[in-house]
Amino acid sequence: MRKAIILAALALLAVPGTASSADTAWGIAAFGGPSFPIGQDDNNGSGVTYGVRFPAHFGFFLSVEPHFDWTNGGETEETFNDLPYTRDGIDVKQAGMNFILGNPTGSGFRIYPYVGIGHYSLKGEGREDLQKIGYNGGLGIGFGSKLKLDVRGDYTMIDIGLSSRKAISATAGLGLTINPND
Amino acid sequence: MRTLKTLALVLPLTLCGCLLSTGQTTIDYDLGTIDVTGGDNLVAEQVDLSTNADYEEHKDDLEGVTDLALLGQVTNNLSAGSGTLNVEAWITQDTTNYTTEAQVRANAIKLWGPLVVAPGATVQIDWNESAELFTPWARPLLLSEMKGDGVFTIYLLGTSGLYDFTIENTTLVLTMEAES
Repeated sequence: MRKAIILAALALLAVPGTASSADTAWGIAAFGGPSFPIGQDDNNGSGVTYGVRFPAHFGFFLSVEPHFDWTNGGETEETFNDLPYTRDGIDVKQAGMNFILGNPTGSGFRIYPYVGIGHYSLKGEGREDLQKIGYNGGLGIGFGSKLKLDVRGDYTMIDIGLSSRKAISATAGLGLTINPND
Repeated sequence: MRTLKTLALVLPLTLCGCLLSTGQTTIDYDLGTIDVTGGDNLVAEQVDLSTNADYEEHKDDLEGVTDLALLGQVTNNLSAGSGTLNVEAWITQDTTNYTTEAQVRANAIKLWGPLVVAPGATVQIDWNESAELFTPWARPLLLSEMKGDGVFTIYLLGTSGLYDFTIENTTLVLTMEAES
C-alpha cells in the first residue's frame, strides 16, 4: 500500500510534464502544528505533526494532494499507586493522499474541505509496531498568490483492527504554487 | 457533481461517528506490597478484576489489550556482594496458592521479566522498560482472562539462587480497547 501511494504521488508530480500541463496547477507546501490524541488513556500527551504536501489541481472542482507526515507523540505523565510514571507517546509516519473540494493552488482566499486515506506506521517504546490504513478529513483555509499560507484543522483515525487511534491537529503551512493555472 | 460533493462531506462524518465510539481505557490493579524472602516462600497475588470499576464498566465491550505494564518500586534486600536480583512474574489462569518456585515453574506461565536489580538497590520500575519485559504470549493470555472471569494469580520470583526482595506500590496496568 505504501509503495502504491508513493507511486501515485510520483505519478501526480509527473503530470505537469504531460500534454495536459496547461490545465494542471501544482505546488509544494511544508506544514506543522500541534496534534492531540482523542480517547486514548495510554497515549494522551499532545505532540507535534509536520510534513510536506504536493497539491495538484486539474481544472475542475477536485484537487489531489499526496503528502508525507510525521507525528511525534508527546509524553504521558501518570501516577499509579502514589508513584509517578512517564510514558512515551506513539510516533506515527504517514504516506497519504488527500482529495480536496476546491483548488488549494489557486490565488486569493480559499476554503476547502478534504478527505484522505493513507498508510500509517505507528511506533512506541514497549508497544507493538503497527502498519495500518487510516483516514483523515478536515477543513483548510488558504490565501496568497504564488506563495501561500494555509491553516488546516484535521481529524485522523487509524484503523488498528479492533478499534482505532484518533487525533486532531491544527497545522499552518507555507506553500509555493510552481505551476499556476489561474 | 453535486452527489460527489455531498458524498465527500458525508463520508468522513459517517466514519468519524463509527470510529469515535471505540478507544483505549487504562485500568490499574493494586497488588500492594509483595515480600518474597526466597524460592520456598513465594506470595500468591490473587487478582479479581471484577473489583475494578473501569473493568466492570467496559468488560462487555472489550475488544483487545493494547498495552501492559507491571509497575512498582523494587528493593533487592540482599546486601552488596550477593547476587544480582532478576525478578520475573508468572501467572496461573485460576486461583492458586503455590509457595515454591518449583511449583510455579512447573504449573504457571511466565508473564514478565527479568527485571535486573543490583544488590542492596531500590529501583522504580520504568514504564517503558516494564512494557518491553512482557512475554509475547502475555497479551493474548491476559486478554483471554479479561474476557473470561477476570480471576487469575500472579507470582513474583527470582531467576536463580538466593533472593530476597520487596516490591512496594505494585500495580498491574492493562490498557483495554473498548467502546467508550
